[in-house]
Amino acid sequence: MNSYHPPGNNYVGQTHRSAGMVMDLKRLGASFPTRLSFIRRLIRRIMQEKWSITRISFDLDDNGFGQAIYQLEIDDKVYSFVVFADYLDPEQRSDRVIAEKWDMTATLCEGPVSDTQLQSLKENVPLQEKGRVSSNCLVLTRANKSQRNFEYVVGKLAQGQQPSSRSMADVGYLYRTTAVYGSGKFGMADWQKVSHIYKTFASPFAAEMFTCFLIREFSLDQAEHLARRRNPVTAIHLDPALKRYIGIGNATGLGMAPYLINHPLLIENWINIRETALNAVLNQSMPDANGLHNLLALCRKARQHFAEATIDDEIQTRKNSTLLDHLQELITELENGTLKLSNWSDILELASDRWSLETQEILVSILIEIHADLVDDLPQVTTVDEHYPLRPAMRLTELRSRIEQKYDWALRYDFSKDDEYALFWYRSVEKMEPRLGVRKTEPGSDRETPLGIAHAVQSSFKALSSFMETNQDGLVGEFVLAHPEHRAIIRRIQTMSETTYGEIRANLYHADTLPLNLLRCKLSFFGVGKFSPRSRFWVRNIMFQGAPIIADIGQDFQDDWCFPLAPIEADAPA
Amino acid sequence: MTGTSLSCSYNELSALLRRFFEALTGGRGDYATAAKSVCWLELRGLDGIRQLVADKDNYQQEVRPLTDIVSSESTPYSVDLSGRGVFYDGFLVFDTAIGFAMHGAALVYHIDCEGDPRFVLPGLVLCSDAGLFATVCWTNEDGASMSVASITPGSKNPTLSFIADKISDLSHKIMLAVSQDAAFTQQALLDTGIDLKTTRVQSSITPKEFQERVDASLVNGISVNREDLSILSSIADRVLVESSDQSRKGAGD
Repeated sequence: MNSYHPPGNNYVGQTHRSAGMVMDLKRLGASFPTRLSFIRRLIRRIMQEKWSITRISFDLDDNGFGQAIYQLEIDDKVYSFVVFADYLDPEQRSDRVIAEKWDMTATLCEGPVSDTQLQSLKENVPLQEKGRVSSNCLVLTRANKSQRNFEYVVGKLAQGQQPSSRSMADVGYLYRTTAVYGSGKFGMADWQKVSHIYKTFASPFAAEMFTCFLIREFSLDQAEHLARRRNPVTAIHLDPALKRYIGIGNATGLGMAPYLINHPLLIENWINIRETALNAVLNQSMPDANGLHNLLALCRKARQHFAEATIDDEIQTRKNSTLLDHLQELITELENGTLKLSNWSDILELASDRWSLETQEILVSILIEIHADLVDDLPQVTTVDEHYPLRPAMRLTELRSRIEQKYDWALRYDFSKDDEYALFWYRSVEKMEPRLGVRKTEPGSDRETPLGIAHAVQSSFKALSSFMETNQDGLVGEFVLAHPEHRAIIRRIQTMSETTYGEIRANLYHADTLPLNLLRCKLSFFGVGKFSPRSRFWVRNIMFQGAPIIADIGQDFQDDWCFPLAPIEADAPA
Repeated sequence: MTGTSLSCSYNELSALLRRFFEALTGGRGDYATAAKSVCWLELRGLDGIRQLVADKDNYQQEVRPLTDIVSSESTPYSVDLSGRGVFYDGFLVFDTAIGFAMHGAALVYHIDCEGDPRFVLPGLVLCSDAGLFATVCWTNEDGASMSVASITPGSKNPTLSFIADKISDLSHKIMLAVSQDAAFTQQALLDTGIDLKTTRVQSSITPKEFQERVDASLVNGISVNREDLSILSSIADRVLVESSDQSRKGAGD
């Protein structure tokens, strides 16, 4: 049982849950988006700042192939989202990073696009990793149509009918992105440039998420365009409520996993923001009648949201089913008034005693959601100086003490056991795709990607202990001179031992490692929903489902689009 | 972008260099810091990649401790980096220098190496970050001129001066002085025969000018020779593992 006792009133920057609890990989793999997730924040900005987004060119043929340009004008700058829609041989349709062709490819770049630039983009963007773009490009991406949904929606609209919301609930999108590149890849603008010059996008993944928002818009426009071309007489527009319910799909694979391990300060920051928000709720709010009413309403909405989800994966389906049961238990107790809460911590304690990890974590999201007034103005993640300097003047006794205290979890694994040292991570010659191999049977462990933090910490700790037998009063600088192979992990330890979160407490070499947990952790911070695992290694999910569309900008905005529900159909029984 | 060069982003170059160093050391060394050192020079227009390509054979498939080649019991310490990868071993020299200097020591190193000594410049920033003064000087490859660089605590960039005359006969290639005391590093430079107050300095790059170079590189990209990139890539690609039906399953097939 985990104990919840709020630590005083200085909540800003203070956190409540321990790193041992929060950074457990299974719990991270049960994370849900919150109102602080990147997509939620982006939508708030778009709506509150009334971003001016215009479709300035839409040259698609009868088959929907061609190019389109959308422009954002903001803060004296113009950004162009340039899309190329092409024929895709069904044989070449793949979500994998190793695919070579896609239904659509796109880039987000700064400035209006001249004819010369457009030609250069046309020659490079559809090639994706094999092309080059210039340093005024912020994002390079591609997406494929949903085979189940796209043609169905076009057909219905062409016949003058709205697609059924049930069908939309099954899939939830018309296009699915398979890669969204930023941060200087393929010649694009570095993050440093984005954060200093393209300040509209100077928050984590803002340009990437905005690009996905525009892919969603393009997918809706393209579907309507095709319906009109198919039957100009009968074709109708998609109902705005359905448009909002249609998100943009995403397929995420192992590529995201190394990112989480290689950016611990960033992860520290992301987790800290969420945990600080939770702490603010626990410290500043009491479960009064209004709070309990909001909790009940959101639990009901969340339950219906998950009840409407169609997930193919057996394990995730079971988890969702458990989540539904547990949410129903809570809803019943709230409805009956049998749940006695003296503070919000009680409900988290109750959840940790009785309910699944997913139920516990969704309650964290719900508590944050119903306290917008307390959390929305907390300090936002802007840029994190990801600097892990070696501190050579540190005494070895201090270093050893830090490892024993902060990395005790890493010292517990027994890597002499086959299971603990079973897997290795590597990059394939095929587009450097990250993959997992079995150490004893597959080639490539001599070129493994060093993601085993626990293993590296143990190795350095052993070397350190041995070195200290004759250098008890030595300095870190002396140790790394003798053991340069441990320099990288030592400077990581020195920095991260001064933080709370950041290190994911897991042995990623273990035979039962579930990379999905890593992916879901990161995706939840992005703000995506409806996680639908396709294997241990990759997951489909939906972004922006329920979010406003471009046509909504400038209208009244209620920031309550989390846990989106399928729209009620006009002819459905009341 | 021209025919012989390619405009790269900092992140792109950094990732390539990390793979390059990883390939050469089997992932056991601090390849991220080595990559950062090369990028540090590139961002400032100081040809880090050109030097790396020229010295690439010195980077071994192992990480060799430096301890056995640091000779002499007390300062000045002698370090011989000949035949070694300077971007790998150079910052290890700074590690010990900073470690001891932060505990009050004042140190002078005499470093021998092959090729361009500018690899030491990123190390000066490590000193500055640690709140230390540092000065280096060396005889340029033309054998007739010299370079002096120094940094003060908290500065993100050093001052680099070019001296038209060879006014010091350094038997070793590089003199490095590190201390909490500015007077010590100034005296160490004077001891080599160089007095910047009286010496004819041909040109200097100030910290502000270095920062302007960095800013320009981040905005416009870093122009890198395509042939050098190709050489680095071919080595970096050694970390990639051949594909097979079995390996594709390790990504979700």
